[in-house]
Amino acid sequence: MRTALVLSTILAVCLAVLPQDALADSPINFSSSLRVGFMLPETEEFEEVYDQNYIFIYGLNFGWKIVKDLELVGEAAYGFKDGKGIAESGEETGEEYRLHVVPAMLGVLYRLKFYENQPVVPYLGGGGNYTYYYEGRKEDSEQDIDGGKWGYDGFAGLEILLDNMDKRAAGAMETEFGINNVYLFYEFRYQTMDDFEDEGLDLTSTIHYMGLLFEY
Amino acid sequence: MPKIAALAVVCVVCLLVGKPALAEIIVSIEEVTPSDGNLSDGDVAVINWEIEATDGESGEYRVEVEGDGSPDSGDLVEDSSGQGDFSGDISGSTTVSADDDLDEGDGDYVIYVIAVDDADSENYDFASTTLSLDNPPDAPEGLSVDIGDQKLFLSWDSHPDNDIKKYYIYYDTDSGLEAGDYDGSGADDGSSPIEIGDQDDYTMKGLENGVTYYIRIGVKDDTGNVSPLSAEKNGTPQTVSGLAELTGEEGGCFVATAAYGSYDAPEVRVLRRFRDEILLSSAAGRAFVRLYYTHGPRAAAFVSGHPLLTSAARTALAPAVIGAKCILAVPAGARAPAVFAMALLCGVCVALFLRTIRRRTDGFSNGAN
Repeated sequence: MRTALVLSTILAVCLAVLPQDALADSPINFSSSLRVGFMLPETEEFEEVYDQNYIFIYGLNFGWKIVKDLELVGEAAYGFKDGKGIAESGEETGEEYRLHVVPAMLGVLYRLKFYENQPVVPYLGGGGNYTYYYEGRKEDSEQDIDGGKWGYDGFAGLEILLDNMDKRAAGAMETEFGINNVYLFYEFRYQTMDDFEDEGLDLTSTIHYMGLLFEY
Repeated sequence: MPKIAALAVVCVVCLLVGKPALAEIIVSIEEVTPSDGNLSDGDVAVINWEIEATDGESGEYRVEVEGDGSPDSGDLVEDSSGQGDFSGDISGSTTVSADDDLDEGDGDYVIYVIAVDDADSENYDFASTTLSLDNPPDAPEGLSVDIGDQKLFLSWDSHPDNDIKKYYIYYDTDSGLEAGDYDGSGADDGSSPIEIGDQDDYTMKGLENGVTYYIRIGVKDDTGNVSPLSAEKNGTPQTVSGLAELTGEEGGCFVATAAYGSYDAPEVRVLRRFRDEILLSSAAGRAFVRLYYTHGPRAAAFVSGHPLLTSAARTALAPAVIGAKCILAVPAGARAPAVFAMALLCGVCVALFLRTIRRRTDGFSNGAN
């Protein structure tokens, strides 16, 4: 329910920023994507506390085309995970914890796009990120810890152009909403979140994203 | 004509008195033992009854469980006193066994004493009384204990009886005790046994880390029957860390932890309790805690890096620890006046201290002059 609410809010925001009066043959200046994925922290302690090795996250990404296939991208995502604390002796305990993560990224992306309406577009990119985290204990909120971690990331993905599947709908998207292209994409990302190897919490993760990308 | 009239009179008389009136049988229950009718497994009830046969009728009496009061509509009481013959007025008693006769589980049972005329099976009467079977609940099952930071998380299987009113948590630091010997203390909710409502889990807070607590639970039903205690389980509260703490991020009472060297130091525990029970109960206290949590980590990092400052921090914190201890020793309802009195005392002490310093300074100045 909460996931649906967040996704629908993201979609509403996404639609709100789309240029409504864009024309079918308008140049492509921006992109937005809605994405969901699995963040897999590398630290061993994560699975000890949170039982599984992933956090389900969802996010929103905006891109501004600097030159033809090079974009400046910004992204924010959110995810949380419930788990149980570990005692001094190493035993699992009944203390319930919830970890919230909000990774935010700013970087560049380059699309290997060789011709118009290319059905499959590989891309890669990288940038810097800041991840806000908040870990709270259910029974004792004063034990909550929050903070932020800086890091960098690199990513690569594949976009599949959906316009070719239904050209009529694609045309309607262009004329009605000014969306030139819609892609389904998969992205693999490696994201360090450790204050550049500083001490303390290290949320460095690999992230597998899927989602829809709109170019307009 | 007179013959006809006489015949008519004879007929009327015959109609009025010629058919004998239906003889009456009256059954009554005089006494039930136990008088409240409440039984448990193994108990018996004795029902004293009386049959009046107005015309000396004879017949059979039966004592039946449930049914509707008509003969053979219920189950005959198994004891031999549950059935017999009567002739004329009679009184007797019947023993009803909880084990043999009330065999449908806990609940109310209507017991009928029925007397039937031998001459006319339609001529019968009955009296009834109600017995209640209410056994003590079985011992709770499935108790499990998960450890926490200064707490234990207890859970158990939902009790099958639907008239459970309360649970009792028995705890002690010794193992294998009888119910009356569990006299543990220190939990926030009081000494053993802790009384709670009808629930399937409970968190015991305020316990001491590193101490093993032995736990058993019992239940009481609506009528006050108490169950045997559950099997004993134990748990040892310990310092617990989440991911951030496990990987070295700081949390909790920063300065005090740095000063006393351990999150579990008795002084740190007192300050934590003071924070949770006193400070967090007021807006001003919460604002102070927020302020402390904003700047505390930096101060703690500074203190922990300097041994001299660690000693100084301990000295500075000592009055706060003593004050917190005193206030926490006061019953919860009287803590507000205690905090006020403590603040007043501190104010007076500071004023006296300043006055002394001033006098000494003045004395030193006068002496110098």
